[in-house]
Amino acid sequence: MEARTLKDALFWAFATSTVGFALMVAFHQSLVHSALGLMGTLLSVGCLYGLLDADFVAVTQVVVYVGGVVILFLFGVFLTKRIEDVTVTNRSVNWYVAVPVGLVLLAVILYALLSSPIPAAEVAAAGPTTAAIGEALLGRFLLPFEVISVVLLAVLLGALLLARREVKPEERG
Amino acid sequence: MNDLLLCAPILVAAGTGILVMALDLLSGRDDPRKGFLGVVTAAGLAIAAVLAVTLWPGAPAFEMSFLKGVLIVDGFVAFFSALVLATGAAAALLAVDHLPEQGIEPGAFQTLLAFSATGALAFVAAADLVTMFLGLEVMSLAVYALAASKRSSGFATEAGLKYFVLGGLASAFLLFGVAFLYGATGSLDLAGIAAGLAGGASSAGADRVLPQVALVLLLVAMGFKVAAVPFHFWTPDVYEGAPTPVTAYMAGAVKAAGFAVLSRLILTVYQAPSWGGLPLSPADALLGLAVLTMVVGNVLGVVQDDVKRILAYSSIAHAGYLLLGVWATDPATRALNDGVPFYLLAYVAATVGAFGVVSLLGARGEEDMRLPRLAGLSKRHPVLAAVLLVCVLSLAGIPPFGGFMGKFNLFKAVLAADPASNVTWVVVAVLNSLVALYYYLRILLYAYFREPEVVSGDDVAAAGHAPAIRSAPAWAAIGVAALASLYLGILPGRMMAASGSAASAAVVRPDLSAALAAPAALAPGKSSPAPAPASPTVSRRAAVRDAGRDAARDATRNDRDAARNDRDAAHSRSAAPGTRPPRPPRPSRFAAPPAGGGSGR
Amino acid sequence: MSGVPLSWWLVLATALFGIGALGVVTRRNALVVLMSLELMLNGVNVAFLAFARARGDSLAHAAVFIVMAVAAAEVAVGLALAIALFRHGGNVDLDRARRMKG
Repeated sequence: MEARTLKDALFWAFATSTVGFALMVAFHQSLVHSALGLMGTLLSVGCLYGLLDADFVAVTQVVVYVGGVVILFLFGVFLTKRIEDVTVTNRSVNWYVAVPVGLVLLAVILYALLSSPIPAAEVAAAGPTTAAIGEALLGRFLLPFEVISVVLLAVLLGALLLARREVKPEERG
Repeated sequence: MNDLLLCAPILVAAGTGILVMALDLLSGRDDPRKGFLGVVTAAGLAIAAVLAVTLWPGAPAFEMSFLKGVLIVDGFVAFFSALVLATGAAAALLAVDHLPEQGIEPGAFQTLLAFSATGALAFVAAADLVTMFLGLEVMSLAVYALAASKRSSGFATEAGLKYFVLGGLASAFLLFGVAFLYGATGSLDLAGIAAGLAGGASSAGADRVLPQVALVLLLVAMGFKVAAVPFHFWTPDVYEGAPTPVTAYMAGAVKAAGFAVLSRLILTVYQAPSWGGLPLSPADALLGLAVLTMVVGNVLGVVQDDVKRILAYSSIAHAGYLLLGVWATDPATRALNDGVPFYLLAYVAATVGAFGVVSLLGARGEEDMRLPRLAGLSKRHPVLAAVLLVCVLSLAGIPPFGGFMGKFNLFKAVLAADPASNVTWVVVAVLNSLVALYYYLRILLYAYFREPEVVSGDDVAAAGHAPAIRSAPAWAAIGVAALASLYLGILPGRMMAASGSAASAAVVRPDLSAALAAPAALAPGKSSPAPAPASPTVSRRAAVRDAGRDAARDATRNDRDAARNDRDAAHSRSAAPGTRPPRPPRPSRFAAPPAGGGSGR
Repeated sequence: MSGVPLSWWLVLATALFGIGALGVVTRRNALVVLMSLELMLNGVNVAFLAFARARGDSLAHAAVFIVMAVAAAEVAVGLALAIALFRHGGNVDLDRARRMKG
């Protein structure tokens, strides 16, 4: 019982920090703050994964996201100092239409979730998940696992195509 | 071994990408045009399409050891895969001479196009939702890069970024929906989810709410992908800003793949008979989307002045008709409306043709295509004008062309599903088609009846003197598209039959595994066993059309004719209840197309 | 398992997803939009793992792993696009009246 209340307290603590950092990402005016907020969110979410007994995924979260993606973002932020100026303008998204629609959508989902509470299933504490994930990736998810390599190849090529410097006209044949 | 064989179309498409990448590196930087890369890409994708229509319709007879529950291969998947791959091949051909004019490097472009088609294939053929998501991502990530591939243009980059953001939003919605479906059923494959939802009356609360939430999320995601109306706003900007061959690919292949998956998801997952007092039924949501989409698409199309934007709104409006078709399932069988695949086929042929003509007019880096620039097209380029005429009239749904047969059959099927109450919506759709006539005829008015001298200033130079790009591969592609539009309008029978059999396979029944084991057992019980034998023969027609674009045609025709007779024989055998087609003849048959394909390169 | 009911986990996931979605729709800075997309995907992953926990099933863990790989790939393309747009600098005049229609 003692452990359970501790876990509950941890859930609320991490949930609060997750949402707080997420708000910072989405709505803080400074780009660097947003990036740091992203790091905070991802770490908090990683801790939540730990609470969900997802040990392998929690570690991956820290290594891939916090270690990779956030650094990539910071790199992007500093590489393009004036990127604050780069805005996606004229999205033709009339945001005063989109925001209410989005909020209504969210409200519907939240209402649906809260109006019929789903009881927590009583399951035995799970052991380490790494072996099961490995088996899934090489069995049930073999094809998706292979398709990921196509994703990565396509992305590599696409990013190269986009981010490489412009070929000067005189360089072209 | 069967697994590899059944994967062959996907492997060939991915292999094409890798081959093109290697050829690009080997051919060196000095080769200025590198047009052959586009031809190789088109040939590879066409071979993959031939393989798909050859291998997949009869595939349930095979035992799949590994891929069962990961890939579905049936007539439905074969039909849409062939359509997507053919569009990819057409886009590759259109791009051959378009890219140098725009200053885009062909190597990376064609490679990404091939990868995108690979992803679309996995997206359409996926039996589990993780594979489906990955297929979507491969397809989309490649298209984001393609849309922005013209690096000298800020507008193209902007289009790419815009498409990326909305595409990312769509994937996130799809995944969130998948998560809720997983939560509702504990399964990630379509058949398992369908079974879980159908049999899930056990614990009331969760089983009711989670599929509802998932439905909303999936509809939003697919709404973005097929450009249905509340989620359409990116379409005109992106279609206008992207290089025109990419636009043709987005309007054709991405939309076709989106509709294939949308139909499959909605019909398979939500075939649960009763939704007991829920605020939103899948049917109502689809109907609302459909009506909004066609009305808004057509009304906004009327006020546009740019050909690419007009065609973009036209593609939105067509998505509306198609959604209406997906909505109007026959309540008795709950199979896909059999007008939908045919309609998509006619729409894709006409759209690719129209965008193809536009891409040929985009010489010297000029992608902007305002209506006055079409003025006098019939004098300058009579053949291009004729192709444009055929394709635009087909899109408008004028009788001798494919679009008319598509609309006619679609609306007829919608009426047949529920004659009493669907009349309203068919009338709405027909009225919409009349509105659409205005902007389609406007394009033709400029192309045929306006003289370039009427406009003044810069536009004279732009309109009167910019030559069309001379490109044999692109001419072949738009020629085939125009001929297909004619063929579908005049002799629709074969493709209608193919469409019907594709539609009948659209729903993955929860008892999929049983059906896989004994396909013949289902035939006697159904009222119309005829479509099944017809499908491979007929959809091979599409294969012949695709193959016509590359040199492999003659090499493979004899093989395929032999294969056809063989297959028909096999089907008549398998139609007898309880018997399974004998194994040994099949591998020998399937060995033929790759051999023909090899000679095509 | 912690005593927190599944509903609350799902509400948390939805909140994360929703904040991300709002960020994507309202913010105009390309990098912030990308970060908001990441928030959405994290919301999805929380939902996946919560369901997996409630069902005592590890299938979703592999799915989450795959989603992470794809999310990283998405970031790469998105950053490349942002940088490409940045190259065009201030002369990307996107608010031309012609395109404001529809």
